[in-house]
Amino acid sequence: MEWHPGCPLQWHGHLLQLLPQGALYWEDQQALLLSDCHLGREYSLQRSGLALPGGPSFSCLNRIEQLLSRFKPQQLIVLGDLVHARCSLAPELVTALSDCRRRWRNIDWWLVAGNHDRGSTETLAALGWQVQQQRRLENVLLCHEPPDGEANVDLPTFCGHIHPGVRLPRERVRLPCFAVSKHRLLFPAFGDLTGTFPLVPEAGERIFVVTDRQVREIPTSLLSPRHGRTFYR
Amino acid sequence: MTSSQTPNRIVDQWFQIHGWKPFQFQRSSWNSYQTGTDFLLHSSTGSGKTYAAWMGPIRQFLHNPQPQANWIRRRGQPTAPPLTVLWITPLRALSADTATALRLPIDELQLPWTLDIRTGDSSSAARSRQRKHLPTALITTPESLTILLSYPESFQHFHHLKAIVVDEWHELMGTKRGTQTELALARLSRIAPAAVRMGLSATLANQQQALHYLVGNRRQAEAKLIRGAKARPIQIRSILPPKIESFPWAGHLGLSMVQPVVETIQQCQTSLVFTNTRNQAERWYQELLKKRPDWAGRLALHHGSLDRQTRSWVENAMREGKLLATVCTSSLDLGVDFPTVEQVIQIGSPKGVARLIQRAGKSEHRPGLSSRLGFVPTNVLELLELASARKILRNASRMEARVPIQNPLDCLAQHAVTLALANPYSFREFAEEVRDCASYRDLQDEQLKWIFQYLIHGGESLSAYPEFHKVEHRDGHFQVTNRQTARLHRMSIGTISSDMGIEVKYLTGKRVGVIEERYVSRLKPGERFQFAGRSLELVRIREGTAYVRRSRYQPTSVPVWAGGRMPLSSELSAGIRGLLAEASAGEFSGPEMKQLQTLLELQQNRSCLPTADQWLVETYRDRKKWQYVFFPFDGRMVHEGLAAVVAQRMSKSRPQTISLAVNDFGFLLETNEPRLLSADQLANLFDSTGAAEAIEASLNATEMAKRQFREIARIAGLIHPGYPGQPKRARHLQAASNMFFEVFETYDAQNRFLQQARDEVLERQLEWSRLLRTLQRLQNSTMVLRQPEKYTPLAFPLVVERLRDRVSSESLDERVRKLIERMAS
Repeated sequence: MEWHPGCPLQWHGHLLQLLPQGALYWEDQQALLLSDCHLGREYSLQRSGLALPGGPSFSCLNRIEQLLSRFKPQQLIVLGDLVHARCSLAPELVTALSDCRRRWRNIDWWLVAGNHDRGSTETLAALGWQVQQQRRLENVLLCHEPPDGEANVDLPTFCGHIHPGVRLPRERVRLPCFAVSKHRLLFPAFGDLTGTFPLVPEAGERIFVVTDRQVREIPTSLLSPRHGRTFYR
Repeated sequence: MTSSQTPNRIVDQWFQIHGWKPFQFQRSSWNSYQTGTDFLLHSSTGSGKTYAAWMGPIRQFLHNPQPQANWIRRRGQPTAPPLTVLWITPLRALSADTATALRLPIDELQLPWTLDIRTGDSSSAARSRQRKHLPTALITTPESLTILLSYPESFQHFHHLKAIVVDEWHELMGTKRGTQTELALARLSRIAPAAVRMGLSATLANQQQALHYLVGNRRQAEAKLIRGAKARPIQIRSILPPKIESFPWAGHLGLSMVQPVVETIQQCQTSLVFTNTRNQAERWYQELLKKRPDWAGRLALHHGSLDRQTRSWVENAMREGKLLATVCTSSLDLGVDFPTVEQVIQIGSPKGVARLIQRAGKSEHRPGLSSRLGFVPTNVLELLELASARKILRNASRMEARVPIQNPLDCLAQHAVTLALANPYSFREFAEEVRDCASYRDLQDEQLKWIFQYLIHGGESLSAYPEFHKVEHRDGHFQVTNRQTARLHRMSIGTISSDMGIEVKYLTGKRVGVIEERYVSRLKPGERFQFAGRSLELVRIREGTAYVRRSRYQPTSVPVWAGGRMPLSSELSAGIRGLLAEASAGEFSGPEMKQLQTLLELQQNRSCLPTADQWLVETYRDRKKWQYVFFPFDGRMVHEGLAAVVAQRMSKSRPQTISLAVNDFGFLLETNEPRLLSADQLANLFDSTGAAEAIEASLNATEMAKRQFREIARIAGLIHPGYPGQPKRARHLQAASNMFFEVFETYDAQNRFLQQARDEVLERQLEWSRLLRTLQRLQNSTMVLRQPEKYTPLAFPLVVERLRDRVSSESLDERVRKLIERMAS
């Protein structure tokens, strides 16, 4: 497969690489970061009587492993919502997770717990994940939900939770995106069965859409406010 | 009631008291019922179909009116016979009217019968009352009937049934709800084999087929067709602007015609103003009130998304003659009769002759009088459609057909769960029962096995669905034990036809109606929109309900509901081609064509008017783009398919993105390729060989298959549709539906529902066989290629139509890159 390098981004003195898979590579820290995998969502849906085939979760894990082989990082950090719900951890998925962990046992697996992970932290810890509520990396705060409004504005933050996406003119589907403002870097959802939230960029916010092969910065003037909502006041 | 009278005499006398005399077709229907023969009665609306079906069971009852052991005593009421007559109606809106008509003889002949309605609108009190005992006669919809059949008590409930009436069968046949009805009827004929099926229908081209699908395979041979009253003559006149030159060439709202419509309304005591979409109805209501503020209170609005109470208020006011005019949509198309209506005004093309006749029939609902219809075109070319309709009406024998659906697996999957909820059953029992439906007469064992495989394991690849068990297979019988499955299933039965809606309520909790979630999700609190004829301000959205308050200020938008536009019928399309051919020879007959003369001559001068053996293609240069406008004149759906085929073939040569626009007259393709295609190259695009492959390929590129799959997935229970006002708990099951298609394509490509979606798009949406006929017709006629300097009247509406779809052979990334480059330059 042809490898696309992603989009470099200078942010608070760090060189970051926004990857077309919807993840971020921080070379100085040897860290691969991503958010909102919602693994096993298809099993939760199946339990409720909706026949969605299994597969998206494994493809998600597969993509994580591809990134690991490409960058060989010291640490993998997931910014929350790794699994969709406690009942999403079907035996197949647990096996796949532990196989995956065994193949990459020499790197650190960090999970900044998200709201969806609440019921599964113990299982995940047993699978070798180090679960935390927040984490600091240099001067950057890692958390799941974006800090609200004025709090913590002085601390640059990586976060997920929102599943941001934008609709481009004449495109039918919303494309997931990174939304980068002065103090906040919002991650797109990495998983398959996640959907997107229609985001309206705030003033000064930069939008990097994830297409099928590349990450591209979009002039925000392209985005019509009719197609999205602001998440913050 | 004196015992010396025979039942037949009593019924005749009852007719006499009302000043009526039974028609021949009514007597034939009663006799047919008496001998236990199923029948389909086809007749125009308002001709007495209701009593043709209803008085049969009443006459039978009068033969033996003494209380029987199986009579039921309900609290506070005298004993009454158990459920005897089931009345299935396609529209909830019709049930109240039907009930009034049915109650009249019950009251006046003092029958000990009870009568009740069971629809999605029924209160929970009525529902729990009906869980215990059903009335002697029950009026219901296909959805509510199916829900009743999903309860274990269904056998006791329907056991004594003697008559099943399917009202407006022509509306149901050819739809998934029609298939749902067929399946329910098959179940009922197992519970109560002796019950007679009576179908009531408007006149169709395929009556014999309609009868077959109503009564099923086994009873087909004995069943008969009964022919009712002929349609009354119709007077149509077009209401035109004083100056045709200033009339718009495009558009569908027609608001420039408000003044002439105001004048027309003034001429009568009561008018019905039909519009084609709910959005249009809201706007017209507002504009009419703006012109005549003094009409407030005498002008009403009626459409399917309004709350039921509002609708029935309007219906009652209409009946009592309190209203000057009502702006409505197809919500008033069916059965509801208002004797007070003096004229019908149709805004915009009705798109089919049957609908035109039906709407015209709403006026002067008394025998012997002719129907009056005023037609208001919304753009100048709609006059062509009216001229064509007028021509067809003159050769009155030409009727439209409803094509039934064959073997829809999604409905079958739904039905299998419904029956499993009621009672465990075996494979053989089920197969035998459903194969009696005409829709499933060719059902293969192997298809049915796949359905059960899906219901039990989720699919053939067992590993893919480990947590999915909708139905269980125990001791050779299928059953449902999971209560969550049962609850979700009953909830989803009602949603065969309806798209996802959000309930609109005032802060006080009073309901206003339902609008689509897609529309609401774009509104921000504080924004104003027009709904139910009022300006409303959105306060908040909570748990599937949009809370609003009334606003004194002008609304900023009007909601749009999906599925608004109908394709032009093939009869009307052929008529239009004929009229244009006449015009090309300088012949303009009829008032509409005379009005159009200048415009069509302009078309002739700028480009061409095709004769009978020609077809027209125009090309335009717009900045850096080429626009190709093709005019097959064969209806929107055929054009949508043709556009997909042609665009697919065009884009095969080189990666490019082609934009499409489609209307009832033709379609437009826009490309930014540098070179214009030659006439030969263009003709090759319309080659009928290999068209099937081209369209298969283009299906994935366009949204059609996805849309269709969403519907199938919802009916088959693959996904949960959600419903207005649902508790938050169920919301997480709703996952954005557009991703489902891709998940299935990637991880379960063998899923038969995917194939069904493709087939249905081909057959039903694109009207595949009609499309092939069009391709052959185009191949056999001469293509006329023109490159006009200015847009022609025929091309203009397509050019201004917002480009709706695209076929792209470029990657997403390529398209995004180009977009950014365009911004930068």
